[in-house]
Amino acid sequence: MKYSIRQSILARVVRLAWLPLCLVLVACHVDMYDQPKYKPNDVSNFFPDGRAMQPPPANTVPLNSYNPNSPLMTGRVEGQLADQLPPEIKLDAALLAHGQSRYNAFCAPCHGLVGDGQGVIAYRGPMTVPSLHQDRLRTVPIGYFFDVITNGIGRMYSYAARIPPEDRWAIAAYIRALQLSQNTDVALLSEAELERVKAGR
Amino acid sequence: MSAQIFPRNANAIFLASLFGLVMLIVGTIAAMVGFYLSPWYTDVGVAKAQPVPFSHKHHVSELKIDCRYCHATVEKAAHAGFPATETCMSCHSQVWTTSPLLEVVRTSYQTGEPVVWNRIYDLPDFVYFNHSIHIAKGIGCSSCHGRIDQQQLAAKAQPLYMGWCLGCHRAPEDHIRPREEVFNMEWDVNSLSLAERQQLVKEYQIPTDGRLTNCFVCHR
Amino acid sequence: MSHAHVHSEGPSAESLALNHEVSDARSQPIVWGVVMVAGVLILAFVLMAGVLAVTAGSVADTSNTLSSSEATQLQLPPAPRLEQNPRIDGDRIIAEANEHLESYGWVNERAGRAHIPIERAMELLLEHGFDAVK
Ligand code: HEC
Ligand code: HEC
Ligand code: HEC
Ligand code: HEC
Ligand code: HEC
Ligand code: HEC
Repeated sequence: MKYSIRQSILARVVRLAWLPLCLVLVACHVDMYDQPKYKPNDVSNFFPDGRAMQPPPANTVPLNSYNPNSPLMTGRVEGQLADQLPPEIKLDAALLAHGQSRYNAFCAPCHGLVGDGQGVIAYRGPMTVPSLHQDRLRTVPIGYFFDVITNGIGRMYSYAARIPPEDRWAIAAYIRALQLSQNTDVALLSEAELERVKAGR
Repeated sequence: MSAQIFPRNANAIFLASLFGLVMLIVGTIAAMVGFYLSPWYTDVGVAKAQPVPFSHKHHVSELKIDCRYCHATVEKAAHAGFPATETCMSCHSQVWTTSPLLEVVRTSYQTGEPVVWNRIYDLPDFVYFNHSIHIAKGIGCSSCHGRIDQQQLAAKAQPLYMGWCLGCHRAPEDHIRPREEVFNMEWDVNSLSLAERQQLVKEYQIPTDGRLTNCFVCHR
Repeated sequence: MSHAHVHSEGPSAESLALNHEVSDARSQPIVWGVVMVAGVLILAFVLMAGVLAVTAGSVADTSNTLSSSEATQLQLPPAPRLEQNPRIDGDRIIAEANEHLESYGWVNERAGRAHIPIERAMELLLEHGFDAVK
């Protein structure tokens, strides 16, 4: 008799066992939404400067990457500005096309798509931007452009943080193509093209 | 015979309350769905306050600056990233050098203290997302971020629901464009016919066998 | 069974035996019910409108962090204004540059120097190397 009463109480309790499941309905899932890990651009309260993405310490280079003193990384051969592309970079149509897209994204706002220093930003002023179509810049070694992008010059900031070395060389090569396009020796052109030059079309 | 315990109108009340109960349940569910889809929950179209009132409309649509000038890693990395203070200063060391609106940026440049932008698009941490693959396969910024070049302050264009990701992973031909047009905000999908877009899907070797909707693509 | 329905003068013995109700439902409470539901709906509508009027403002307002004087400054830069319509100026500069990069023309006729489309220049550069630039 006693046993069966206890059993029926137990059965009643067991029947209510689903109730805690209701908690699932209201459960806060914030723990999986915001896991205790850092993602890029997160704020950190561990590092004193408050960023999860720590800038690399000064004078360090990526592990197993390039020789930091090679022409590819410095634009220089034995201290002098390189007048050739480094051996890792091949001058071909793909390089120029890549350089064009980089130039248009990173340089054209100021230097203009044509390289005449009349980009949209320069047009608004008060910044004045030099043209790339000067005799001096046509004759400088190609390493000069690499050097300017890497270290900046005068009022122009360095773009090394945003443009990797290979892309800098691609831009430098494309600047050569730009310079050629704005100052072509007509001896290089065909008859038909000469006609179009004369017609100005 | 047992006594009648219900009054005469019990049937009517019963029917009315049955009707009421059904309406209550339907209404509650409808209200919850509505709330779930509304900007109060998703933040779609709700601009957030930023430390500097940076305008994409001004910098992108009027000044014609390429997305990559500021979001430089978008083609190579999972994250597009926010521009460093130095990126702003490459222009603003010479343009609007005394604007009070840029005080925060100038202080940050001097002290090295980063500007903390308020995130607008933020997936839950259990979702893996990667920009570079989408850019490489011809999915334009505006397919996901809308016309950010028309926004003064940036606001969400998408609630980032899983169904939305899956929709495109099932049928990328509805959104794909040539790679050169990825950064073009004005690109209209319908400028290519469906057949041409399917051709692009094939050319970019996007798997159409359902592999892209496997759970582990995004939950890994 | 069927004869129960044809009797018009009162409930059948059968339905009485089963304790069914013996009269039709009264319509009055139903009408009242409908009126009350409509009333509650209107009340809820008014309440929600009130709540939204109070809270929705904060949703829209987060967009503007400037004090109103700074906000007007933003809209109207001080004179001399460089550009009245920056969008069109930007479009024009890009279009002109692209056109220049796709056409032929003289740069310095006496020295025999021309400008040529950029695509062609890239071909020539690949053909002749960097020395062609000097
Ligand atoms: C924010 C505007 C801006 C951008 C973007 C920019 N530049 Fe410059 N650039 C300048 C200014 C201003 C100068 C003049 C610096 C000085 O003389 O003080 C300059 C100078 C130069 C020079 C040196 C010219 C000389 O007379 O020796 C070269 C080369 C150059 N830029 C190349 C580039 C390349 C390549 C890029 C793209 C990676 C680029 N610039 C992006 C503003 C810019
Ligand atoms: C001049 C620099 C600049 C350029 C160019 C730029 N952005 Fe931004 N972008 C920012 C800054 C700064 C923020 C952070 C502040 C904000 O959210 O408005 C941002 C934020 C964003 C965000 C929101 C990120 C988040 O989740 O908070 C998206 C999306 C975005 N940009 C897309 C683009 C696209 C697409 C383009 C090209 C059409 C572009 N940006 C061009 C500077 C720039
Ligand atoms: C490529 C050049 C360039 C870059 C990079 C750039 N800006 Fe600007 N910005 C401009 C120009 C040009 C103007 C407007 C000048 C005008 O209206 O005449 C401007 C205007 C502004 C204004 C309005 C200033 C005022 O007082 O009205 C703000 C705010 C601003 N920029 C913030 C930023 C921030 C933040 C960044 C970095 C994420 C940034 N800008 C990067 C060129 C740039
Ligand atoms: C397939 C959709 C998609 C495309 C295409 C896309 N984005 Fe995003 N973007 C997202 C998502 C999703 C997030 C949120 C990522 C997170 O929270 O981890 C995001 C975040 C961002 C952010 C915030 C910072 C970050 O890296 O998380 C920026 C900036 C951004 N995108 C810029 C761009 C630009 C510029 C392009 C075009 C080149 C672009 N996006 C193309 C979906 C997309
Ligand atoms: C507008 C179309 C579109 C949208 C929206 C979209 N994707 Fe994609 N996604 C693609 C395409 C196309 C690919 C390329 C697939 C391939 O070729 O491997 C891809 C690839 C991916 C990959 C890499 C797959 C792999 O195995 O390499 C991930 C991860 C991914 N998407 C996550 C997401 C997430 C998360 C979202 C939603 C926030 C999203 N995507 C929204 C079109 C889209
Ligand atoms: C294309 C990318 C993608 C794929 C494939 C995908 N998911 Fe998701 N999933 C997401 C995103 C994005 C979210 C976040 C949605 C949100 O924030 O509301 C999500 C959220 C979820 C959630 C909700 C978690 C919560 O608490 O809200 C579950 C459960 C889930 N996914 C399961 C799955 C399963 C099971 C599969 C395989 C059938 C799958 N997902 C495939 C992108 C994906």
